[in-house]
Amino acid sequence: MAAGAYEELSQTGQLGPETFELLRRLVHQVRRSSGFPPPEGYAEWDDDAAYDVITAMLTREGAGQQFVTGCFVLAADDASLERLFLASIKNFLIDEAKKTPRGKLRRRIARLMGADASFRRMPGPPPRWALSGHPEGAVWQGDLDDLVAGAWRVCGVGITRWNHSGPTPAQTVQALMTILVRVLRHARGAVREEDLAKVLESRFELLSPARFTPLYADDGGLAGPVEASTAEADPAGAGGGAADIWQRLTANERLLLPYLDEDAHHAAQLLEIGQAQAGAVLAGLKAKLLLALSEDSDREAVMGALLRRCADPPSEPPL
Amino acid sequence: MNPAQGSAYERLVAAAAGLKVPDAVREVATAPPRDPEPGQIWRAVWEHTIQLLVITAVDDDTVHAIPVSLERYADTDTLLLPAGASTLEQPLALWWGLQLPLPWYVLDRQVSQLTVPLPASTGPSLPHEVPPGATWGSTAPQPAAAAVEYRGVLADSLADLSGARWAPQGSGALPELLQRRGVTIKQLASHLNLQPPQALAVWRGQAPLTPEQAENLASALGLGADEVLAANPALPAPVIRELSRPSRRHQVRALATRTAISEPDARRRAAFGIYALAARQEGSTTDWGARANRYFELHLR
Repeated sequence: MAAGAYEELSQTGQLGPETFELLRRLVHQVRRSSGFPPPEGYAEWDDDAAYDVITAMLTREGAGQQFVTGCFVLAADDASLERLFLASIKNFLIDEAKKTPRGKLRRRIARLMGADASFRRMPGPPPRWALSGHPEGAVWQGDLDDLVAGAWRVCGVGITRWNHSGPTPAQTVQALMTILVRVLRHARGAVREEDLAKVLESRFELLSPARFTPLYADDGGLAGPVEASTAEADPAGAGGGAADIWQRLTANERLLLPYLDEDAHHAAQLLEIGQAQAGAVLAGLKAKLLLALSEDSDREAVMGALLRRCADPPSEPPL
Repeated sequence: MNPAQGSAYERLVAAAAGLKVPDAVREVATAPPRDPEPGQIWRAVWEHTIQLLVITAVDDDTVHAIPVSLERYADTDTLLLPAGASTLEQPLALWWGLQLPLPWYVLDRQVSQLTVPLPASTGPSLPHEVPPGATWGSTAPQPAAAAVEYRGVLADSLADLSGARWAPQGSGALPELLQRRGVTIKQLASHLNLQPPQALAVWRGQAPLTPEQAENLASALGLGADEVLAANPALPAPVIRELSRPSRRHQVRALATRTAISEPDARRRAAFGIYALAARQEGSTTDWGARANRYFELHLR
């Protein structure tokens, strides 16, 4: 019998009882530390819920085989295998947690487009939307990244609230519609409702993507993306703008906010990561701020409000 | 999640049953490591860094390598290879522009082999021709995209691996140090329990001290062991090369475990041990491989 999960995987090239036991323990560790809800069909977490999460993780299309091969080739010992397992479980649970709000976003934009004469829904599944001016039957078949990139080129729009009960705030409606119109104009044809939701997710960073976890990273920043959008927004004005920006920043970006004028070397020391990675985080933060602080907003006041948040950050809701 | 299909655990066992590391990967990863060759995919490990690499060229004591990932991230300088392009049977991302020379001793295990030839140019500019089925990644669609940061993580990993060092740069100042402290050959022989000819060789800087001898001498002289060890004659390049080969790594690790020291410390101890052993033997040959085998046979018994 293998002495542990690493030895089991190394010897057999497969997942066995030792690995299942370690995965079960790690699922509980992740859900306890991050507050993930139990999987569908379970009112609360128990071992069966943990086993079902692992099963779901392994049976996603192609993911199980990649997981086994990736862990085998990357793990050098028990500690590194455990970190790989932790990262996979965390990323999977984040993806699962995104499904509900993504469905909500789709329903919301479908309702908004349905009530606006500028848009036209194409008949038949899957649901697709075009601009009224587009030719009948024109369907977009390009690369989703192109649409996402197009959405990111639209400056000066931001949203503070969408994932709440009750009517969508007017500012949010306007921002969503502005992006949808620009994206559809770029597409020159009907785009799947699902893809439109993905573009909006990305543009407004409504559902932060699961991030990679370096094998030996300290248990921090990258492993735990900031779940945006669920925090209550501040009232309008500089505080509201700052709240909007704040909730889209990752933990590392928030740490770097007061040090925008420093270089990558300083950022690397502050975040305790490598210099090239720190340089990328710093550059990304500056680009995000440039986009968010649109020309007509009071940049200094918003930055001031952001910096005050650095000194006294608001509490985050669990994932 | 249908209870009718049995218990949750049984469902997990059934789901995992069909998942298996490809035979070619398992075979190469569990075989005794051999010297690296271009086109191979290796796991590199040094201290807290673990990275998959594809070897593009091999020199006497360094390899040139590009980081590889199974991740979903890619940018315009990432060459995306289809699943059939390696024995891993998984789509791979090769991060162009991050190639660096790496010392052999960071190579831990070969895990795979490319089954397609790599583009000829591995320099900073992107090659025009790519293997069949391969494509370049697309532009990051947004600022602060994960792919941009991921490239940074890989660049840092490669820099760590490229800068990995274990062999001390011996100053050769041991004779001066001993004379300055007034240590005679007789005293040296007594301190280190050496025969006079061996003590003479050390005194003249013709033989190195082992780490244990350096510790004894340092304590007698009121110096640090590292300071004394650093005054040793430099290790001959063939000794360094022999101990840098991937095939030596499991022996070095076993020595590190047995003596409760770090892997680089164990490698240094073995190197000086092998060098000292050779320098004290009559009619020494230059078969450093045989000498290394003998050393580990003695110390890992």
